[in-house]
Amino acid sequence: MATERARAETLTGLRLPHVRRLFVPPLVLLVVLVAVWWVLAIDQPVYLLPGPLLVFERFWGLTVVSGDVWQALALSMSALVAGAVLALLVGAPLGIAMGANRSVEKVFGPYVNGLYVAPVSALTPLFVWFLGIGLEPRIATVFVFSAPIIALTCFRGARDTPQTFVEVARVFGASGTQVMTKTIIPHSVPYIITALRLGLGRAVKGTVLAELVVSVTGLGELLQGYATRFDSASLMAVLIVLLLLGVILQVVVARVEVAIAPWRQAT
Amino acid sequence: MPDAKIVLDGVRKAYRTRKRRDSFLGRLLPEPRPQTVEVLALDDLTFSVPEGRFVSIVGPSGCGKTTALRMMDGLVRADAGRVVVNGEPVTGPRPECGFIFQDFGLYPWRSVLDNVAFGLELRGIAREARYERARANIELVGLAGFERNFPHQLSGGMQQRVGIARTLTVEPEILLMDEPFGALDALTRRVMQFELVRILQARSGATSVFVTHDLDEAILLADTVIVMTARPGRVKEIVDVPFPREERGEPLIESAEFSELRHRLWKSLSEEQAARSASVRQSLSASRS
Amino acid sequence: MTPRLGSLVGLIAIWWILSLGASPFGLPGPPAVFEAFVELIESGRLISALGVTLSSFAVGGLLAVLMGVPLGILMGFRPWVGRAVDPYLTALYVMPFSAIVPLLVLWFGIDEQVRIVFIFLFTLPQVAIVCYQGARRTPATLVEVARTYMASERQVFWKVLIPYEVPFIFTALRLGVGLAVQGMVVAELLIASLTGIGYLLEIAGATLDLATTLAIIIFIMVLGITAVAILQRIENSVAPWRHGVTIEGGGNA
Repeated sequence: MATERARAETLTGLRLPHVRRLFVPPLVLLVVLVAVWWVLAIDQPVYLLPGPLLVFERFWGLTVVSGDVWQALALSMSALVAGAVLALLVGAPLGIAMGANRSVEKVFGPYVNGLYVAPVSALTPLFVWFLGIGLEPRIATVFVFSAPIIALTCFRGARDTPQTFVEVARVFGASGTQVMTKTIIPHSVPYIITALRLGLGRAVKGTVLAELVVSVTGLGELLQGYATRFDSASLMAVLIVLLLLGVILQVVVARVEVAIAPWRQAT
Repeated sequence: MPDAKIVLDGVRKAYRTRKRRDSFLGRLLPEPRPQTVEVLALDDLTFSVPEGRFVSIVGPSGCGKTTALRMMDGLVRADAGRVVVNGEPVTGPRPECGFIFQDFGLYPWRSVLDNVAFGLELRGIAREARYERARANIELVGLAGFERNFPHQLSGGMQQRVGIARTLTVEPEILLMDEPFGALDALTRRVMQFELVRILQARSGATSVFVTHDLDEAILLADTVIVMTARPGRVKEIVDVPFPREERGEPLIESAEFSELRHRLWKSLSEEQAARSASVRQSLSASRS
Repeated sequence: MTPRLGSLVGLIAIWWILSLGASPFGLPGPPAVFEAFVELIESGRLISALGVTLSSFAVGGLLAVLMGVPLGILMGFRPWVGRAVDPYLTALYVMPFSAIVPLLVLWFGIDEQVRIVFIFLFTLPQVAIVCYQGARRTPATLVEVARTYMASERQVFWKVLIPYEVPFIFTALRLGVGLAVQGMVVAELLIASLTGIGYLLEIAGATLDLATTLAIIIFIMVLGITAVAILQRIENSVAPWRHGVTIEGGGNA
């Protein structure tokens, strides 16, 4: 009975689905989707809708045989890593400061929120204007994409530190700095990991966008190249690579999050 | 007993829970075959509730008293044994059973009036008719004037009164109450206990089962108190409460007889509480993989 | 309110000062940008460009919501559907969406259609995920209460589950609109078209008209922020009891 299951869940807290239940339904859906795709692709010209077999062949070619995809990713990496690291270095302390201190939140809050919500992709042409074509506008784009979510998540971590924890520290005579280092920051650590995961997701998006707009290296170049040659199969293959990478990264980091802080509820 | 309204006979209930990994690495890697541990909540639980009586069930936390209560209204099914209400085995919720939840269970999007009228609404009773009955019960629980308010605007005590009014509105023969005052502070709890005495006197005749861990509450409200053992739960002892209904009030709690009864139940209960600590220790070490 | 206003004024002041120091090809100051903005409005270029862009935004966004909300709810109430579809939605949500643009352009060309499809695909996953999370987490107690009052399955669905979902639907709407705006801008940037905001930006860029570029960009950002703020207000007033779920946005393509 659903209610019994629900109660069993509350007895143990977190309940991760059994591995078998987790994998079978999506696989079934995958098979169905591929079958439909195959049927649809039968009469279509290759440049328009290539069939699954062709795409898989391209996929294999790009990843295993020629490794083009990995080369392109490596080129994109520098902007991605630099931008993400910068975003973390700026975003995490800012977020925690905002969470710990209401005045900081009042001053910076609207901007962080604004940057998170706003279509910051519009800023990329601006970056290109001021920073030229090359690594800098891409780093700037990645930064602007990922810093807000990192700051906001760390803000949640610091702000949600139960008042009780802080008071326990104070009662035992902790100074302001000690309260920060011994209660707020440890509480925020799992949130920082989450922030990293979300920030990375956004950073990747920023990288690809920047490359498509600026379009000189890495994945952007690869994609544009295939587009001009009407090579749909390769385009789709690259997309599949991106999808898989994204999912794997998500799953791995999500597990790390749960492993680090088993007392938290996973979203 | 021949005229027993509710009968539990040899009831057994077990839950399966997953063993939690204890190391960081253990949690990191996926589990191909999660190990489970069986928790026996109830084992050979047997008692009956005569018609028209108010029975309190007390016991240490986790003894399964809430599970037993939920079985009476078919929210949980027993693994073995029988649960019989009104002569029929229980397969699901019954219209003659009213259930009051510990966390109130009020619908936040409905006003007090709509919450209280909920049961009648489900039965298809026309709006004016159900509102009339709802209003009567809202007044009975002392919330007249709050019909248009929403749950989040009310205090805990008031919310639980709405819950009580909602249940009373469907006029159940049997009242099942799952630690209804557990979420309230001590003062409000005491006030609500006296309120409940008053309300139930206005509506005599309902068979009631009341689960709580508060001894005073159990003795104050009930005709009979059932003490359960620590997990796995069974009946430890059954004690009759000899005080007449009219005397259930403030002075009674202060009296010597009340203290004696409380003391006796307290001793019984603390033995079980100690047993429970021992079993918690045991299950913690068992779940270390 | 005052610290916020104060910092905004401060920011504009800093901008102004910076612009005074630079050369004619450098940073235009607030007055120049404002002038450019006024010109855009008066000439009607901004309005017509906005009209074109907004229509694809509206259609794409609407489709995404109309399909995403029922999908998410279905996923929540039928766990096996949820388990089946969730990985794909997550994959879409995590993927750098701009990567899809070259493929879409190949398939749909460069006019209205392609933008609508992009915005639709971009907005759908998150809307569905939000509704899914909400539907999944319906507290067991609320359903149990209904069952003790002998509610039928249909009654439980309409009188408990759907009302519980409504705030989540509003959250999904808010996120959906925010995302659709972002998707719209990305689409404009990446799809070389002859109408719309993207085109305006291109022209301004080609003529080295930084003031106009800035004016357009600021306008878009403010538009995006305002739209979301308004929806947030609406969301707050619909469900004052707040179900309190943290939703993470994956936006900006």
